[in-house]
Amino acid sequence: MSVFAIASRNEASAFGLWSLVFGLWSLVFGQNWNQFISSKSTLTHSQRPKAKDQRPAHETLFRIFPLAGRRGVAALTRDPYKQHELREFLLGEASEEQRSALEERYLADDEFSAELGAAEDELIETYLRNELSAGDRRKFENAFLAQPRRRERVLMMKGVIAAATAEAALKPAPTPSLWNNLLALFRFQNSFARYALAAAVLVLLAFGALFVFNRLRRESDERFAQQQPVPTATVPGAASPLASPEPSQPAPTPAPSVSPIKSTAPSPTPNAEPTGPTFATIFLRPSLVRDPRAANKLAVGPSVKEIRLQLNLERNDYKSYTVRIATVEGREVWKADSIRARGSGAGTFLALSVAANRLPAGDYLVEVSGLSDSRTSESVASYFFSLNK
Amino acid sequence: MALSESQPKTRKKDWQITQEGFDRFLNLLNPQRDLAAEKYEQLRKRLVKLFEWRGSQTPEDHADETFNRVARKIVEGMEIRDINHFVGGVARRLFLEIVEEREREQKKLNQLPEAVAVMEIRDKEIDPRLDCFRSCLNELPSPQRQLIIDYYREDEHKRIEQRKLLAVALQIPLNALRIRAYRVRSQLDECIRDCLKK
Repeated sequence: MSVFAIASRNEASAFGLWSLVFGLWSLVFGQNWNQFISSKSTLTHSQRPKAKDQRPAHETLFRIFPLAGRRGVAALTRDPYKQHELREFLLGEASEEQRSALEERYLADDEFSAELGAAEDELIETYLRNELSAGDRRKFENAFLAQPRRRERVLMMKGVIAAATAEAALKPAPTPSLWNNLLALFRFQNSFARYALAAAVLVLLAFGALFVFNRLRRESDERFAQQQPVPTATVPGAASPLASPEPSQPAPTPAPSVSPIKSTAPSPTPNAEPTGPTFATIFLRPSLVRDPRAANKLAVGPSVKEIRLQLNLERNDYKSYTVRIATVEGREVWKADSIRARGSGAGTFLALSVAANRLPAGDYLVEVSGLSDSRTSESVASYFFSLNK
Repeated sequence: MALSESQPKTRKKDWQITQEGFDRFLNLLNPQRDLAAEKYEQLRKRLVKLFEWRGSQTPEDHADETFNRVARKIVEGMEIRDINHFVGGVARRLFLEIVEEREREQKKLNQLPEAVAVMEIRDKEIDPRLDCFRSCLNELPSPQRQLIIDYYREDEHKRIEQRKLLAVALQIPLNALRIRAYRVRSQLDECIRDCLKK
């Protein structure tokens, strides 16, 4: 994985984490602020704080969280008129200035008119349900019950409650479905929390997409690496030592039969070298029978410079392995040690790369031994293959 | 649009609203006659409530008097830019006159305390009306009827929780539920008034 990819992933992780925290913060506190504000609105007049403590809830919020942003938090209250202000007005306690402003808005603004009407309904309902403080109750009675029309309104509300209760007795109370309950978890009374949640979801999606992209790229790299020549070990008599391969991700299960894989584009050379694949691969499974007829066969053309062997181990019990290739007559032609297995479980295999000129046409026996922790060599498996040139 | 006896005397008390004045007033509310009539009714209802809140004993009469005065100003050639604002101003002025008149009457009565007839709401006042309430409730379209039943059902301490659940079930915020309940309840009021007149 490139440095860029690692860096992006770390940044994405940090950003994703931040968004999650922010989303959860909004989930938890956004709801609480709503509850706080609505509970404030249900306080009786005598219970309400006075003077400077009458600061709106969102103003207190700004002092605690100055970065919260006025626009977002203003959405919590939606309206400059708080419920307690409307109640003061309805109980006849508003100043003349407040009263005039409210009346003017009431005449001109349909939405506010409904808001004030709903506040009046709630006040009447609160009275009828005996939920007003003694002081507010007295004010209410002076304001509402002394006037025929307002008294009529109280009677109406009482009738509605009585009729609704009588009708409700005929059927059980509504219970929201499971789906609605789930939806409720993500529904907020304020757009601030909604935006925060949306942002968190978007970041999570982006984070997920990045994760999938990285995984796909890693798999792609893996496949590409398997197509490349694999350095393995020193070859007796060879001039250049080869590094041992690093452990890697599981490879596809080795095929039971010989399947020479042609290399990628052969490069034509100016000195008229034979054209064709430059390497061939053979997958071998352990064999208990030394039967040349059953041997896996590999036919290679003159262009092949390298023969790759993938030896299936079925399991990985040793830290490193030694591989010896010999003719059926017992003449050793190639040997390498300190080879580490790749893959895991039944997909464990050893990857070797042998120069084609080291292996003349003929039958070969491949012997694999493992180096135990006590540094003793133990035979692991044998393989046969037949090479035709 | 006669004023009640307690109505304060206006400077031009003999002035009666004319067809021309009424038409021009409607035109200011909305050039389309139907919409203007709708707006007129809406504004009148709001004025009635406004006078109610101000403590008027005859809010309908005061609302009508406000309209009379507005129409008169229009006929007299006053240029009105914002009719809602203007109506509100006229209503407030009228209210001040009512207060002054009330104070004058109070003095005449040797400063007797203002009689406030606070009457208790008794169940027996409700019972005869319940038939109207229930029949009007049943006349509402099913979703609205159900909304009112679920919103106002008497459920002791569970009311707040019940309303939250209702908002969830309707997939609307709690405040939108309050407004919706108010609108349906207002609709119900009109039906109940008509029913009670029969």
